[in-house]
Amino acid sequence: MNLFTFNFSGSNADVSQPPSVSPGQDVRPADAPGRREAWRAIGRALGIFFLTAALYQTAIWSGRVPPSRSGTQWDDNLIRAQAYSLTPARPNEIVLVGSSLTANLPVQGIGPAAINLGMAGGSAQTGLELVESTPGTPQIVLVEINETLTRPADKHLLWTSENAAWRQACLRFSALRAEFRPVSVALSALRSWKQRRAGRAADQSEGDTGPLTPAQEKLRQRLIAQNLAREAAPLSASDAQALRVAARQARIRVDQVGRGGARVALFSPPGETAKERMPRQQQIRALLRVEFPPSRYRWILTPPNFHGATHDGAHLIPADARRYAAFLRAQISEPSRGEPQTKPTK
Amino acid sequence: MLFNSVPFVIFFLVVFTLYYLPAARRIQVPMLVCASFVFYCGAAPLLLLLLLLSITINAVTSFQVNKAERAAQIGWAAGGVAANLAILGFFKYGALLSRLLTQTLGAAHVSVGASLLSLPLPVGISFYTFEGVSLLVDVLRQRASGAASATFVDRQAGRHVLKTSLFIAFFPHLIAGPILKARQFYPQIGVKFFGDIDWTRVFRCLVTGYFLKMVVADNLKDYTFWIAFPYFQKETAATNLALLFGYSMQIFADFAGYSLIALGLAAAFGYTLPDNFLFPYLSRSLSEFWRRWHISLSTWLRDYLYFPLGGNRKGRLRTYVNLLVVMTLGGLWHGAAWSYAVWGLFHGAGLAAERLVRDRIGVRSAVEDDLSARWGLRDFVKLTATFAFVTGGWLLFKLPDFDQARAFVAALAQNARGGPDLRLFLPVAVFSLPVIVYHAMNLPSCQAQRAAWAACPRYRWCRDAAFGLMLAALLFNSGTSSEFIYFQF
Repeated sequence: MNLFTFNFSGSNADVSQPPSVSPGQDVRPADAPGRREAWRAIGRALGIFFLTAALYQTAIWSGRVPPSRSGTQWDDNLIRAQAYSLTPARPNEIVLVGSSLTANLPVQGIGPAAINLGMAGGSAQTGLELVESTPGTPQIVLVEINETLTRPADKHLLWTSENAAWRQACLRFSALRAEFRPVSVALSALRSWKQRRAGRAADQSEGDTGPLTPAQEKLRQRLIAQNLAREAAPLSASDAQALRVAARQARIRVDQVGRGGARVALFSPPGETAKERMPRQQQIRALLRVEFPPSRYRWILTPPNFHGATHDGAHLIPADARRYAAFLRAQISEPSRGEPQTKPTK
Repeated sequence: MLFNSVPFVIFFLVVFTLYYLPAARRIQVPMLVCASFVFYCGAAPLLLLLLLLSITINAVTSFQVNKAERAAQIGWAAGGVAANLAILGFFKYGALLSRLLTQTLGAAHVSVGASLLSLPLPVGISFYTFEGVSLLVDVLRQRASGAASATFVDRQAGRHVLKTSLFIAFFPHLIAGPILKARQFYPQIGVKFFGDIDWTRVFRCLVTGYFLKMVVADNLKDYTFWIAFPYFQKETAATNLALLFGYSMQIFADFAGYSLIALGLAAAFGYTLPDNFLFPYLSRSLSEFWRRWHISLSTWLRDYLYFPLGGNRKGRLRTYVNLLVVMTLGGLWHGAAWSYAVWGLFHGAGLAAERLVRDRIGVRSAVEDDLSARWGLRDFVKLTATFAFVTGGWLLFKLPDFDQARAFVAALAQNARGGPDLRLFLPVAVFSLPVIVYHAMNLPSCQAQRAAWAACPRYRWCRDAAFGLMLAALLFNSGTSSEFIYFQF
């Protein structure tokens, strides 16, 4: 007997000598008491499982378990996607869809009814599908249009909105939602406690920690330089074709959202000024203007004098992200121009 | 089809129900084979043809080896092995070869390279190809030892083809092992009864396996993601080391979790597969590590590569060379990239150095071979050193690009000051804890107490509570679904 094997089965059957059974022989194992104990053990495990599940759900219903605010970027994506798909859209909502560039924007700067469906590591494709598949129609949908469109819609994030059974289960049993994952709840509670101790507001961005140290600034410059180096190569023919295909898929979704009654505006958060001037970026913008002509779609163009600083060449630092959010708010408050010509069908 | 997907659960329930119907008893084995083909089709239907080709080659050649006279036996075996390796080499290493060809022969051969690069990597090919080779060699060895027929080869060709089909394609182990030995699996093939199912093994293997995969590995991957260029450049050395530690836990949980699921699924159908992991992070030396990690691969390499090369019977220098060669090839088995070869060479060099030190000392420590001996401080120091070595090697799995791996090491030196980022460190610590506990419970001191504990009702309740809590964690705290890491091999 191998003393070092974790004894899962209660026996250490020698693999090379399996039990021999004649065809047709109905074997009744000799160790019936052992079998009864095995079933009792499984029964105890299942009983403890159901009890734990019931206690946890009860704790959530009674308000003793606060939802987690954010953990990893995927947790964050899933929490926001689930929260959006489990609640019908309100008519005064402003929804932003895009990638981490959009997720980086503070929605409070855009409006009290603003919802950020920017998906870190994702693109507007996911957000657009979420908006389409969720009951109700928001008032305004701001769509990030840039090369991130080549990232396809994340089916995992859309699972709750597209799977009716799972959606109903999440509506009835909130413990199944990502925001109530026990480890995320515990870590989020710990973070909140630490922030309260440090005297910081709970919703203050953790990235907004004041001026950078020389080492951090040196790293930031290195990351920007690496980003710019990647942007130096022109857009290849295959990349351009992939972007065209992705843009057309996004356009179909944009048109459907527009036909549903929402006002749609297109934007692209600015990166480092030097990056915006790179030939590759100019090629991308030109390509996307062809797929989303200004005569048919409302574009919110970043003013040329908006010089934003970034962490890494792409993501705006908190102060400039707030400034850009205020700019978006001002733009969507203006009367709309050049909206899609399709009629609402919902 | 992923084991942690709804379509698979439905597939399993349907097959399991039909399998144990009394009316289906006579066709259990063909039904399992067909179900395995359906399972494989979920990945890529066209690649089923390749699987069928592999089964055909191995069934025919092994049958001929078993039937033929001596000279012809070797011919059939060599042909079968060559065919297996040719398929593996073409599909798995075609891209690597094309890159070499393009660099060597220039642009004129770019179209050949482009075709090779566009071939899909058949899922599971590394595993079922090695099984085919082991089948042929085992039959040859039994015949060479004087046996009139290999004990596990059926005399009737049709039955042998059917058994070989199940041996190679049995769906619990088809995609990512364990790599089975024919002499262990063939004798098990036969009629199975519902009343014979070892439900304890099924339940505990499945719960532990899914827990390791969906709760531990899938959550850890969301944090170890930051061991990616250029993100790790922003993190302190302490954070990066914590993330690398987490990756070590993740790769174990992912692979061991898969293997346990395979064992549990196989047990549900009445088949016993060998353990593939034996608490590898308790190893006190590299040689011990390779007796505990991916056991089916390491024993395959030992039996079919290391021993035929001479093992340790041809002198010390030859032993070291054999270790280097075998481990480098073992590394390449993992993927068609030089980083995997370097990883294998890294382990080979470690094993050779260990062997050199032992040879110099002159006395092989008997205590180390006794896996049940109680540990002292020196054992924990050795465990730490072995774990650090192995974890360092995993960096090449996470960052196969050498430049990025170098940049990671450089970042450790550049960002040496500062503590760990608790937003990353704490979750990694929390999700690594189950793996640490899983190993700690199998230290010799705990093993020695197991018999006494088993008689205690409180221990049984605690054990069952642990399984209940794992089920709860599966329901409430699974990470975002992902493929098993070893599917890519």
